[in-house]
Amino acid sequence: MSGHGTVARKGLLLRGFGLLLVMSLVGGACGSDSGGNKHNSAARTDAGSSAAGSAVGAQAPSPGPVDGAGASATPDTAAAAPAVGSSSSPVPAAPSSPAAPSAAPGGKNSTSAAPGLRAANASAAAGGVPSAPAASSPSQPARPTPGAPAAPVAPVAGGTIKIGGINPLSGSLSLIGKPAEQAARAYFRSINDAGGVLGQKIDYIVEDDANDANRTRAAAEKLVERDQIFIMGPSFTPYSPDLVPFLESKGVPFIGWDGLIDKDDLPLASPTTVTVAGATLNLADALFPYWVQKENLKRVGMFYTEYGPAVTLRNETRKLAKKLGVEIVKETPLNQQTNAFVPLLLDMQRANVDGIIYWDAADIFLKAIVQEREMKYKPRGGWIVSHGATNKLVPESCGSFCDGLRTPWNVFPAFTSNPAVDHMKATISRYYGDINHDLYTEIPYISAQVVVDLLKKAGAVDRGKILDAARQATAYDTGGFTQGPIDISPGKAHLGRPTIVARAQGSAWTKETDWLPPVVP
Amino acid sequence: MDIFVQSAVYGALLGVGQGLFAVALILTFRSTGFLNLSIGAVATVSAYVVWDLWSKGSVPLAVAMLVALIAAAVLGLVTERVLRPLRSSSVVVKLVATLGAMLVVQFLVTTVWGTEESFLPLFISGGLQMGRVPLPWQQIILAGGTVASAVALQVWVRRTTTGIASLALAEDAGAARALGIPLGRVSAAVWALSALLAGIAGLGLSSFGILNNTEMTLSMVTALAAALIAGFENIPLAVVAAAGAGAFTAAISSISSVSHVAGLKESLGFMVVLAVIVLRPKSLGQTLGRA
Amino acid sequence: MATCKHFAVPLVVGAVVAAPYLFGEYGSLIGSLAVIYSLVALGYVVLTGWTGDVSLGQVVPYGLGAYATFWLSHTVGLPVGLAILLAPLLTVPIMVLCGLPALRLRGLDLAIGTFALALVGQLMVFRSLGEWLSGGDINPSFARQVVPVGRPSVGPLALHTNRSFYVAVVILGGLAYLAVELIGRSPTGRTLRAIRDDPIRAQVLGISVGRYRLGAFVAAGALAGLAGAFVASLRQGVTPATFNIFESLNLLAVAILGGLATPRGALLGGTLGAVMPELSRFHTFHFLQGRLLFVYGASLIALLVFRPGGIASLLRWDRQPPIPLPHLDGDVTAPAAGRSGSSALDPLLELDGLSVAYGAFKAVDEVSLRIEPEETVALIGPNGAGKSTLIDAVTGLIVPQNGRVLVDGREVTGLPPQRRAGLGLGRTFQTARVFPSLTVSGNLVAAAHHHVSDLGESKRVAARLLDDFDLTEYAESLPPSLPFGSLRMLEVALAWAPGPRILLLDEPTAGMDPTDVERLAVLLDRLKDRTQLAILLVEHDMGVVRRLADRVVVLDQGRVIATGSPADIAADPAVVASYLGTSADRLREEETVRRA
Repeated sequence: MSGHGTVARKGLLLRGFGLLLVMSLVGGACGSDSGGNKHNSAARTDAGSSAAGSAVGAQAPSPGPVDGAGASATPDTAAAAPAVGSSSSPVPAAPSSPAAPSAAPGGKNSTSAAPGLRAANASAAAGGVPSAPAASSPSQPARPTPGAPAAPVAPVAGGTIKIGGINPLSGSLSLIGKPAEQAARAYFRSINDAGGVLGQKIDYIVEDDANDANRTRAAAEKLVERDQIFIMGPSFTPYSPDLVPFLESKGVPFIGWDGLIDKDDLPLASPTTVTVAGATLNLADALFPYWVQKENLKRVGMFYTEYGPAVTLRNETRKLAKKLGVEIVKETPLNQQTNAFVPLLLDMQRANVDGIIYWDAADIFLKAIVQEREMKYKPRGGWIVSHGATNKLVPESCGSFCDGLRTPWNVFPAFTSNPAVDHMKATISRYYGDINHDLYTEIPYISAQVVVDLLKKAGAVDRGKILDAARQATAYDTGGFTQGPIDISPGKAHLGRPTIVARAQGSAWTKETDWLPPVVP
Repeated sequence: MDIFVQSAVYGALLGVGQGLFAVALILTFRSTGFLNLSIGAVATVSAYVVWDLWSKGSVPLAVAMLVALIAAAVLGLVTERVLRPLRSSSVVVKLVATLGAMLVVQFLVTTVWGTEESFLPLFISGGLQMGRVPLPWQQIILAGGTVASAVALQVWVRRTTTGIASLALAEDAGAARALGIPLGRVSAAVWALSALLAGIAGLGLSSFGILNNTEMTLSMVTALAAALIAGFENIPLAVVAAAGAGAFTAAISSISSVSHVAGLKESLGFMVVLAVIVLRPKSLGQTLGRA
Repeated sequence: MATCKHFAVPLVVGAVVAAPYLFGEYGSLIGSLAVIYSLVALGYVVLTGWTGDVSLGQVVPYGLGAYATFWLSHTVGLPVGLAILLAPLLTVPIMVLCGLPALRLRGLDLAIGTFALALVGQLMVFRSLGEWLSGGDINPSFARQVVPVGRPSVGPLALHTNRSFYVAVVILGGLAYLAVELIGRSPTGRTLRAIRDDPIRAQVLGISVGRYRLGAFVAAGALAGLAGAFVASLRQGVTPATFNIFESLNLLAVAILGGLATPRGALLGGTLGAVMPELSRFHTFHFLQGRLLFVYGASLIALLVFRPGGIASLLRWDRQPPIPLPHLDGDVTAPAAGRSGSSALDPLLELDGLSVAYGAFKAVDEVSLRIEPEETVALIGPNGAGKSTLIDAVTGLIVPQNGRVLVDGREVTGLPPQRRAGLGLGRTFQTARVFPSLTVSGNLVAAAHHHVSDLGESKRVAARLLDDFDLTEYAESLPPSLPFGSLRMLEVALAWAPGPRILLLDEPTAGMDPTDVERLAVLLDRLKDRTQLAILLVEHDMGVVRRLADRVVVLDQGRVIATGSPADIAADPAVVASYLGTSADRLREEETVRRA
């Protein structure tokens, strides 16, 4: 082995790989660029044609009482009239434990905010600009102009429509993610069993993100690029807000985002995203005024977790209180790690509050209320608590001490009973038996329904057409989950949805009011 | 001022219970040099067993508790056996190994009981009343048990031959072996005892109500701080330190202005840990005569 | 096969770079994550693998890097590419601040301290950083959940596809990797390993242990900061939820799985961390889903039990490369000596009333001593007399209660050990302390390097030492495999490498067989002839004392009870009595009785 030969060979190799390096740099940057542009330009052409050719399937729901102001006057017969829903409620705080050692406090998310409450926005560059592009950097691709849907995706030969979904299927949030997936999937299966939609079967491909933001993004990339999904369907991941700009940039409609939309989240109102959920604000806007008036409260104390949505509720409550002439005497932030509530409650007691608000986090509430019960401390006006406490665990474990606790419902929750809910449970149990309905199975189910209905209305497996259909769905009939039809068109703030107030009585929840309109501060 | 004091007392009571974790930590550390982070998970297993048998099922409470504690002890034995080969490894390796053990035990919990959150009701309701502050019987009993075991252990470790021997292991395993001390059996017994204590703590502290996979590990951090303050050596001091930490955090929480700063309440404990570690003259390594 | 090796590296490089074409956007995302995690793992290699400090708080600089990128690009307005490059630099001052108090900690204390630091970060800092840094133009409740970051541009090319971003990240990450590899193979790398092996030995050799440890801490932080900057731009946003204690532990776990001893292990670990969770998406690996925790935990334990070096050690990637040492050319000259230019009147070493006490117990009691250049003084005495304590006090490992230590007329009593080494003190220990993870030549180069102008010179010194101390055949061996006599010789060689002017030898011949003792004696004679070396020799072997010592000082219970020539001392009854444990008078009585 002559040294000479080796040296020569080495030199050749080096040159070869240097070339490869340069090629890949240029190629990597350029190649995908053009791909993306192709996508967008095709999208724009399609927009033209589809806009003209839309308006298929006249399922424009009958102009009924639309959400908002109109919904107020609901007398007692409202029990039969399903009301408008809103938020997918804050999850009862499940400290999340991702694919990582869960040594000490807090889980990955370290808070209790629900998947649905990730209202914060990656693209909220300047608060209040509706279609601001996500980037604070000039290199971000321009968003597809509103109304410019992506290129149509031809269904795969063999006649299936691929719908993607991202849920936390493992880790500690799986207690929500798994039933959510099952609920949506059950609906799709029922449709497939009845012949499918538009002559094709639905293939619902759900990826696990285990509550890790990096994996959420990886899941989305995989679904879009490798599985070539037609649209992203019902997804119940806390990182949905990260997904919205990404899916927009790929031209993939997102139908079934559980995310809450907030007045302040207006920038999140993406033109290619459809959500069933309503704004976080609705919770406070209906419940707080009702409670204050019913119990004649003048001074209240407020606990809140320091996570975005609860902070939104806090801010909204401040405005409401000012408007209603109620004094918020104490505001105390809470945390996953808070264990000793007695001192905090003593502080509240000392301040002589008439009622206490708990925004967000059912398991924090549970801990607090157990200790409050030991203290035998119950403010005159009782408590109100976020949607997250509305699973059965709270009244069952708290017992009669919690009588009078109030919480808001915006969509008929799955652990109650009404025709729509019962039908849903029957459908789900056909495929999955008796799953845990305590945690928002209704939201993904309704979202799946929306997907199918919009597909039918669009009349073709065409992204542009499905977005057109969505834009026209200003009065969508949820089939009994909401007070009346709701506006699910993209880009809306989903404000003003009426709320039902529930009340804990004898270790269970009961409906206290019918659909209350929100009071806008 | 009154609330401050009452809060402090309440916090101290809670803290003593968490001190039991500290005792468990010290036991394994002094005898085998492992900082066993998996005892939080072991405590969770105990709580889930009782919940499964007594709360969901209809097994009498005493039986359920017994089964739960046996399960905890068994877990301790198994963990010790699996990690035994690492007895003479470095601190890093041991720490990470117990992390691995914790992952496995947590996986066990989710496999058997799923990830659903549950509620474990109090075993004994009611309690003493100190002004406006309730001192629940469950906490009082746990605290009493902790103090009793701390005292008993301290006596055992100082006065009895088995006790002294068990702690000689960490100092110098070679010499201990040369003296005929059955290393394997002694360390197994110590780990089982440590796990048992963790199990008891898990049962007692479950009075917070929420039962899920990671809840118990939250208490671990206070325990860690307390054990640190005691130099991972002095068992009664650890219990006192835990009580003190609990009192401190609770009393601070009752001051409104503090509770306003985001995350301050909860971080205070850890900042104390940091301060203690940095300012303490003797390091843990020196306790064991190793660098 | 040699040819295989030649192809291996370029093949891997080529594969890595060509990967974007094979795996598309999704694959490139995973690839970028692999690079990101590898960078954090590289930090662990430097800090924990090489320097021996366990930090459970790497997530803190990771998060700081991400938020710094946000701040620089959004609020300060820099182009994203520049923000990414500057972000790791911003972590440096913060890590210095955190690292300074951390210097007081070692081992488990440091692990727990950094754990607590990560918790404080998670609970207080990261949650609010988004809001604090956003400059007010993002709604605060959002900013607390997620803040936007863009993708960088390389000139006219915007890297908004994952493929292009991957290429950029691989290149930058590759540079960082190369830098770490270079450090590892450099004297700095060897010094770090020496510090991990035996910080006291290192200190005594003149290595500023604190500075190196801080440097490693900051470097690991910068690597994690770069990773954070990448991840912020990759995901086009920063969420505080990412930077929690579990993530820290997760990253440590994969770093350990890959192997902490070598940078290539970090690459393995990072790739593992990125690829494993994604594998479960594909049919063959579906069983992994939901079982990842268990797989991590079980493999961690299995690995630690059977192969603590991680997969890298399984693949035998952690072998140390041989250090090419120059051939000796003829005349061996002395290694660079310590300070010169001292007054001829000053003794080389002077102890003035030195006392060390532990509570009421006086280990060293008012010892005064002078040693001149070229003098060999033997320090003898029964066990427990305080000889080793005395040496510890002279070299600065123990702080005396009273008295002074002067070298060349300069007072060194307050100086830390590493400073005293620079002034000409060298020592060995009772139990031979060398650096077990470095090869013999590595040990010598590391020891010489801190007193010699450059690497070449230190290699020459090492070559000479190998020859002088008869260690040439063991040059590439690790110390634990040496025969005992050679190990002792190595230790003396280490002490000699920095070129001290006085050697303090603590029982150097203990446990040696007669041939080795003779070898050492001959060697010490030669060293004395070559330089003006003074020796303070703690010994029990009277033969060696007689052979080497000019003067003998006898210590008993911390006090000097006799000094004189070896012959005088051997006959002194007080000395004999102290060894036998009786009093001098009784000895004389017994002697009288015996004669009678």
